[in-house]
Amino acid sequence: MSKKRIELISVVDDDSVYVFTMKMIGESLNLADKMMFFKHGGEALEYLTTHLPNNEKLPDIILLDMNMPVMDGWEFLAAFCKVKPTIKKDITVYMVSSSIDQKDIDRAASLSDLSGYFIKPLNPKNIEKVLKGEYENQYGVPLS
Amino acid sequence: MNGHLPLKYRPLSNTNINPSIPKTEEYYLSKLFYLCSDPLCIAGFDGYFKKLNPAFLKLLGYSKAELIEQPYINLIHPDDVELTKAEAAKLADLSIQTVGFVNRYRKKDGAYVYLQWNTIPDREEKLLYCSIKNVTKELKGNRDKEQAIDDLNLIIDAINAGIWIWNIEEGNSWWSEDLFTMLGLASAKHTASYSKFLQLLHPQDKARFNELLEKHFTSRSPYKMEVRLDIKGKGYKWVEFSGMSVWDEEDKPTRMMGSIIDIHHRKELELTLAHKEFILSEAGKLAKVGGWEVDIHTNAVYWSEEVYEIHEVEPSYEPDVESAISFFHADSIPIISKAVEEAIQHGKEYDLELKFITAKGKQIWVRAIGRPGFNEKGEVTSLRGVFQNISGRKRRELQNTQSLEVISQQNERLLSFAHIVSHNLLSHVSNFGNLIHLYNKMNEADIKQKTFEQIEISFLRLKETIFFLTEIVQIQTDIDKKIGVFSLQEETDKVLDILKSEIENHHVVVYKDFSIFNEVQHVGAYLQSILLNLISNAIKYRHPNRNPEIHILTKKQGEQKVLEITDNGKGIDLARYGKKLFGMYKTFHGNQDARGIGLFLVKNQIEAMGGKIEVYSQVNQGTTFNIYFR
Repeated sequence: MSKKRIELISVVDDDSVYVFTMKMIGESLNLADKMMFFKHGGEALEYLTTHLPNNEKLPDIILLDMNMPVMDGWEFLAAFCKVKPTIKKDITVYMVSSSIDQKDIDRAASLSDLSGYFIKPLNPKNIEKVLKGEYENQYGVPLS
Repeated sequence: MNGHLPLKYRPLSNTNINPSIPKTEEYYLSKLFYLCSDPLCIAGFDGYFKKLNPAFLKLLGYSKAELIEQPYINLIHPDDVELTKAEAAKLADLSIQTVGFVNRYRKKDGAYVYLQWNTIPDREEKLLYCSIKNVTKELKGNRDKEQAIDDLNLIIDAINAGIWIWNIEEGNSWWSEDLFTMLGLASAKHTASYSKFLQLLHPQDKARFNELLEKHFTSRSPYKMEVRLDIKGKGYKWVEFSGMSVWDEEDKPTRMMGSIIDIHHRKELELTLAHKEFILSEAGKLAKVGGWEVDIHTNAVYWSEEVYEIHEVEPSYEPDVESAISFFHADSIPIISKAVEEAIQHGKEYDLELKFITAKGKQIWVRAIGRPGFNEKGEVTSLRGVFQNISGRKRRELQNTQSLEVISQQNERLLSFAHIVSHNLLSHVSNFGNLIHLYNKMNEADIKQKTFEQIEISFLRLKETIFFLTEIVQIQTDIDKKIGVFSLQEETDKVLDILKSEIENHHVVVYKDFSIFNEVQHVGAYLQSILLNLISNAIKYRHPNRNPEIHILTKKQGEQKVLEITDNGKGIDLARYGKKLFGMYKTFHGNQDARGIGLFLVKNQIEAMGGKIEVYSQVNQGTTFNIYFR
């Protein structure tokens, strides 16, 4: 995984400042060929379902916020789960949230569609590690 | 002696005198025999009466035939038969006359008469000539007295009592055998005396005893008291001492007599019982527990003292089953009635905690325990049970439950508050960290400029977050200070005034009805915040295809005051968002001006005042919020 070049990262988050920093960091570190940003789960799901057959348009990695208006992270995961069997691409989903509530962490751990749960802040170094699947600290809960 | 005159008028036909008999000496003698008012008869040695005069017939009440046709021995009292036979034999054999022999004859009516016989035998004729005297009156009196004395002695021996007689004048005493035994003294070795009795009397009882005697000598009525006597070898035992004096013509008491009864066992039981009863009633009073019993057949109801106390009725109150049940609270009557019925019909025990109204109208909680009592056939004949005032415990229970609820709610709120704080502050901190990192790393001026703008935005958001957090903390600390009575009408009008331009812009129609109630106790600022948030939400989430309508009205659910705010807006999918609706930073419609703080604040402000908020909604139809005031 570390050697493979990441083509597309999707960031699903309603926090415009967070989105700005992710965009900047992504560009400066050249994390992926392309990055896409969605304000909530609904927008991301709409994109996925309209581009289902096009593997190259689908993200390799989704960084999913938990608390969002319209459709939050959990609801997105439930909906994503339903369309997943029709997707041929291997998509890794990480939940990134500032919630330290143990209930949320336990819930994340119980979902097999989630590859990890990370607690903000994600600084540039951490972001690289997350994307390489190496990130692990007191806040990170790698799930697979 | 009968005089001549009456002779003439006697109905002679009954006298069996043959009028043809010549008026010889025999004639006159037989007339004498027949007319003599004293009973006379002639009996044979063969044991039969031969001749009887009317006076004798009259005495016994038989006809002549009845007396003559059977041996006279048949009419004699069984106890006197032997004696009479011996006497008759003596007369026949020895030919000596009998004077004053007495035996008992059975009269026709069954009663016995004592007859005294003076008899002269005639061996030649084998006849006995008898004159008879009825001595019943004299003898019976004596016999009764003898009998009474015998009976009295029997009673003295038989009853469990010692009898004493004190001859006050002469100073000597007589004690019955039983009294000696009771006192543990041998009658052969000891002499009865008043002074001995005084020696045996318990020192603590002496004053009481003397007092009683003095009173007795003035009142002259029989006395009775319970005293302790020193019983040889057994120590002091309780006895009942009773007596009565006899006075002479000079009003001097000459003799005193009475009885001493052993009541030690009874007295001990009494004392233990009194002790137990005291402890029980004291315990009952402390625990507010009483006992009761109902006889099912007679409906007689027994209550212990404490049951009266719990009912708050006078001790003279006469309870019955119906009135006992009527004391219960209307909610409890069906429950207790059913329990009593099942106890009587099926022998089922019950143990209930019920609401109860005392005679003085106080509402209390009672624990009512009932157990059926059965007869030997297994039928329920009585109900008995325990009745306890448990208001204190119940109140504490309710208080505990309430405090527990309050505490858990507070804990819940505190925890969620901690999470909110950490969540919100953490996201800002992480953003700041990344922005500063970028600002330092980036060289291009325009990117630096953009990054700095983001820092400014982050700063404003952090400020806002802290402002709201402060506001929430303030809710918990403000409550005590600013509570007042507010008119919902006035507060609503104030809010509508604030929202005036929005109402006009969106052609909102507001309907108000505060007729059910208008005033509530609240913190003014909260009331305004609640109304402002809910009404502005109703406008904000209006339906795009119709003019917004908002209904604001008051109503009551039981005793509870409820404010209802209904709109015809977009509605909200409660199945999806219901749980999060009142959470912080939750927005559901993706509106630009949604900050996700309003309903969180509203809920906190309502709950801080002991109320609650409920929501009902259908997507595309509208939303109703019910605010319950405490």
